[in-house]
Amino acid sequence: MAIGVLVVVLACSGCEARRVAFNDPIRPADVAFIEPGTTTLSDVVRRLGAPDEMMGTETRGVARYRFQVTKAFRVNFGWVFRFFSPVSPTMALGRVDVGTDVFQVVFDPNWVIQEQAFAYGASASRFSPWPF
Amino acid sequence: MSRQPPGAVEALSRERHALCVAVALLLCLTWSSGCAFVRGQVGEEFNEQDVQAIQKGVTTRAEVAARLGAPDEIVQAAGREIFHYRRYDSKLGYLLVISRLNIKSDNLFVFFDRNGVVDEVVFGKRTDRLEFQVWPFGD
Repeated sequence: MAIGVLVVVLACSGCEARRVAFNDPIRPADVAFIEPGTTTLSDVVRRLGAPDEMMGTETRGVARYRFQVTKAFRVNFGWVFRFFSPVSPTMALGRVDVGTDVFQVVFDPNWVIQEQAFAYGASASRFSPWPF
Repeated sequence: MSRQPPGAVEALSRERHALCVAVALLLCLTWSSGCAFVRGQVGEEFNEQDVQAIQKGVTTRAEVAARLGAPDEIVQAAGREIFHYRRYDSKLGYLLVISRLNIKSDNLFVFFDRNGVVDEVVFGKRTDRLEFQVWPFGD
């Protein structure tokens, strides 16, 4: 067992996997309750929480929710040098991907939702060591 | 030849196994990057009493600014001026070669009408659901 643990750790030690997640993802099912022309901004906030940003014009407002995920993976082939060399040079392949999902609702001056839209980009983020 | 008492061979085997595990763990700790739990915050936590003290149709822009301070951002939307206050909290779990940093935000939006009186308050707190996690894969 000890040898098995050692082999696994040695095999993995040249690799790194990191993830950074900003807020929780919003799924289409989470916003299925929204009916343009009926649902109000208060209803949306009650279910989804406060948006991350607000913007708009004189006659309309836009509330935007963001979910962002960063995935980084790196393999350092120079790591094995530390066993027989005083210097372990970095010989790494790595990749960092950032993906963002955005959900936005457009509301009128009476707080009634007029439109909603999703932008899916989080799936563009994935773990891969291949940078080319 | 001396004879081993009953059970001595098994005891020796167990000791050897424990020694191997200890050596393996020591090597893991020596060669790996260890572990870490780190927390970072941007901005002060919202005082819920301050938020509840903001009354629609009563509280003015100056009173909001006096109680909560200057907003992080002022925007215009749907014919209203909006004070936006925000705060971020993050927790990092780091173990050997994997890590996960979770960041969540709290947001407070205070809408004012043309007379500078509070028209709507939108407050959401996500940071109370923030967790330390290490496993980076999956959702």
